[in-house]
Amino acid sequence: MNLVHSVKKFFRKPENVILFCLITVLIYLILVPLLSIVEDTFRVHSSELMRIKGTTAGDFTTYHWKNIFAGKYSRNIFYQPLLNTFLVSVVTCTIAIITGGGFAWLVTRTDIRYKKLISSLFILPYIMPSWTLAMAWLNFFKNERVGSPGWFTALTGIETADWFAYGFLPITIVLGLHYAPFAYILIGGILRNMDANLEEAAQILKTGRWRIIRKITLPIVLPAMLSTVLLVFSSAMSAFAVPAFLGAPVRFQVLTTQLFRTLNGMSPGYGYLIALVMIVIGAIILTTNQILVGKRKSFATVTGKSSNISLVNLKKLRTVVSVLVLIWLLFITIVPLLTFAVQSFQVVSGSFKPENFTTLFWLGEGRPDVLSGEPGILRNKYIYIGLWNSLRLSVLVSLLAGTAGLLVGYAVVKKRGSIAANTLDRLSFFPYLLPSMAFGAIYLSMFAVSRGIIPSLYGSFAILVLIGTVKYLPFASRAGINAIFQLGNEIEEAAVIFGVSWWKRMTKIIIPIQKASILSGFLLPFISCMRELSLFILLVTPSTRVLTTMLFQYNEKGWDQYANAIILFIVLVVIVLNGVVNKVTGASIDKGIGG
Amino acid sequence: MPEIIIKNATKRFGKFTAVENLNLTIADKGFITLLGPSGCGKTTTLRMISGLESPGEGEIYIDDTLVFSSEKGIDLPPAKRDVGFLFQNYALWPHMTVNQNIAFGLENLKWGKLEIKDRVLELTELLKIDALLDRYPAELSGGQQQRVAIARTLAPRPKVLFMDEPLSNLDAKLRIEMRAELKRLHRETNSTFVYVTHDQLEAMTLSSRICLMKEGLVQQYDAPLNVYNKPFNLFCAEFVGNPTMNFVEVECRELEPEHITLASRDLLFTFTPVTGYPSVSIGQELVLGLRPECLTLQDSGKVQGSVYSALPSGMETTVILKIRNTMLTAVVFGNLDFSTDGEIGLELNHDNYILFDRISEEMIAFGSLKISLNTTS
Repeated sequence: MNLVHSVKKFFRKPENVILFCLITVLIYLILVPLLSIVEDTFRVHSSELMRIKGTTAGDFTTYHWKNIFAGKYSRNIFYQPLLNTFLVSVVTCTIAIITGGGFAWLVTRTDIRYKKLISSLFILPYIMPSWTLAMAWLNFFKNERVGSPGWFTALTGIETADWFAYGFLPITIVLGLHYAPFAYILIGGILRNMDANLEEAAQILKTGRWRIIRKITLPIVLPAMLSTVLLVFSSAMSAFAVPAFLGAPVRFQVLTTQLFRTLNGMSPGYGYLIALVMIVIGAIILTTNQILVGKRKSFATVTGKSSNISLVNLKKLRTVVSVLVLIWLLFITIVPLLTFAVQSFQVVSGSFKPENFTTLFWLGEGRPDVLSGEPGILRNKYIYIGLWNSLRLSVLVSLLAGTAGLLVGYAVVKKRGSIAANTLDRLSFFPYLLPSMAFGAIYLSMFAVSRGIIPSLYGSFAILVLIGTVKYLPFASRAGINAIFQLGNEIEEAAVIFGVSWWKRMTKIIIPIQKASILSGFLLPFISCMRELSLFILLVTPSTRVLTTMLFQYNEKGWDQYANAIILFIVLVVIVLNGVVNKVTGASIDKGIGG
Repeated sequence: MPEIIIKNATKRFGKFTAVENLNLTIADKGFITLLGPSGCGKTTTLRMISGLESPGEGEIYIDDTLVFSSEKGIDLPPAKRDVGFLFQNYALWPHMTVNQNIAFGLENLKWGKLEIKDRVLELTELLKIDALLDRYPAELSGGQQQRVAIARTLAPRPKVLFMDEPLSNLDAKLRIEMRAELKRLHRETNSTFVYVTHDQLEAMTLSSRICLMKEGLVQQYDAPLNVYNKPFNLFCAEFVGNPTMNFVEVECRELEPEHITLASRDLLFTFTPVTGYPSVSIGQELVLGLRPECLTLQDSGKVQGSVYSALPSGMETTVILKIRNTMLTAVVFGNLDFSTDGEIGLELNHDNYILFDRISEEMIAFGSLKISLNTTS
């Protein structure tokens, strides 16, 4: 009797119902796959029967572990890519911190001009798919190794060297610029919210400007910088498209490209093990981050108001610096898009003769002598299918992840400190640790057959929606937690006193007040989904392919014009949508990054 | 009769016990203050009665209705307890106008449109905010927000009104003004107020009874002046009153039929009990409590000391007095000043000095004192 009472009482509170349901679902969608990946590293897979002699598929084996860590080919399969990954991540971090932090300082602490424009341009590389810049780099600098030369060679006649056109250098530059907005937002946020009195107190004591930066500003920003380092490091580590595009011509392998090769090829067991290694590294990094962020909160001063920070006067350099910064930003944002546009009209890329321009790739019906007779983009039904798939996938994922994120936020904040709330909090953040491609691989193996009440999902659209929702739940749940946390308990309790129902409290009070940050919890999954490649690449089938996977295929075939046109498509959709949502609601992508 | 009865209520957050075995009866139409330092469980108590928080154990009755019982599994939601709650930060809904804020609860209780309109007008007039109906909370001053919050809370005519440090976000002047208004409102609405504060002056001036709490336990539940004059223990004596009561650590030296001799490091006291002879033994460690206003300063007195610091406020002057190494605070009424380091005499001619036990911290006796310098040590 008493037990029935307490169970009833427990479930009368909406936050408890949410906790119970979400934890159950997430254990199935996140923890179970994780265990299954561990199991997969010890199993013989059917494509490996030739090599692991005398076994049948499904047998227990330590073959993969032995060969990855201590085999004859370990160096090539694992250690070299691991080292490459590590080096790429370190250099990427450095570039991201220096440019992002530098820009943050320029915008928040100096009297540089065009602050608003600089700010929004600087965020663009993050909104755009990471491979935008990679493809732009190829358009400019590719050499004869991959067919026709790039613009740089075409315009100047100078042949670019391999080390400059492909591999380590361009990968780190492109990734560094792509993740610099992380640093910009995190460090800029601290700089903006830092109590100006802290610096003024030093000024009063006659401290010099540089000494203040060195002794006061930097130490306070340091935790944010460490956070950025760790986030960028783990993101760079799991980046796939950029190293795939820029590394392939010179066989520069990192863990993710290795993962794709092995999972897609003959040795999925290796792939699962590499994925496991990446998950472990990611987990270590993010645990470290969480500990650091926990400490950061002890900088109580960070929340202070900073109304009138005295800005550094750039004096004569003001205009020069502003214009240079602007030109540079245009080069990494607008110029790449223009090259895509121009190139999609060129028969041979890099040639500017009038007869080389054509509308064939946009409007043509398809000529058998050019690109296997593929019709132009605007008449190509596969492109429309891809666009339609991309859009509906992104919309569904955004609705599901955003709603789940809001519920996570509500339950976690309401039951703050309880074991269940902490569990849900960590669980909902966990997909962040899983490298997209590894995650895709797990779902591939897990949902290939029907399990319990869930039918076989392979090749279905539902599996894309499912994986997208789970993968982007971390963004949405961070946004949700922030939104509810900022609101405070009392705003809701004031309605509880009047007997307002939970549904009405959510729709009439909580959501209207926090609509901006809640919406960014919906926006982020949408945009991420729109430009996601590695998560879906193993799971799509011809009927469910999305724009990004089509782009990858066109790129592999060397059909640059199509690839360029598609990338233009994606970037435009994302930018327009971000702009519209931002105007209408005040929500914006930068509110959700890095949370 | 909306009497509130709390029986054996205990609330734990994990291992931390916020409220322990609380028993409290709040009389109808009373103005009760839950007073104590932060973390003493006063807000938790308020939230338990209002239904925002469930106690782990115990029973709560409001107006003879059992609203909570851990044994019977009863836990009425706040809306069914017919209570109002005023939050510390007002919790006004920022996306609604003043009018909508006040009307929202009534709409939810399915009041008619006209009825709501009348009630909103009535309250806004009462609280003098009728000119602000179409403003948003962000466009109001702190005092105005406070009034809107009060109007919103009063709108459904709750039998009991709970207030959680409602004045702590206001500036000092406005706080005094609102204090007077709250007391007035208590009369006009004719309902029971339960008020949480950590400000002893607020508790003293507003309430009909104070419930003084510490670490989840009730220390004293009494009329304000009783708490002030007859504190049950050292904690109560120290918490109430400003400037704080003087405490002198003493040891019992001699027991005589009429009086007790007490010695501190610097001073000797002869304590004559007025409340019956206490049971103390020689050598027992005790504490003497002396209210600052019961220290009389004269040019020359039984004991001479020097003025360590004097703080004149116009109406009265707080003097910190140094006798050897003992510091005592005295309050002298009237428009006076004292020169720092000047010599001054001390007399003790009241009969409400309090003797506490230093170990149990409990009050032992009241009495009069004679003071002299301790020459033996």
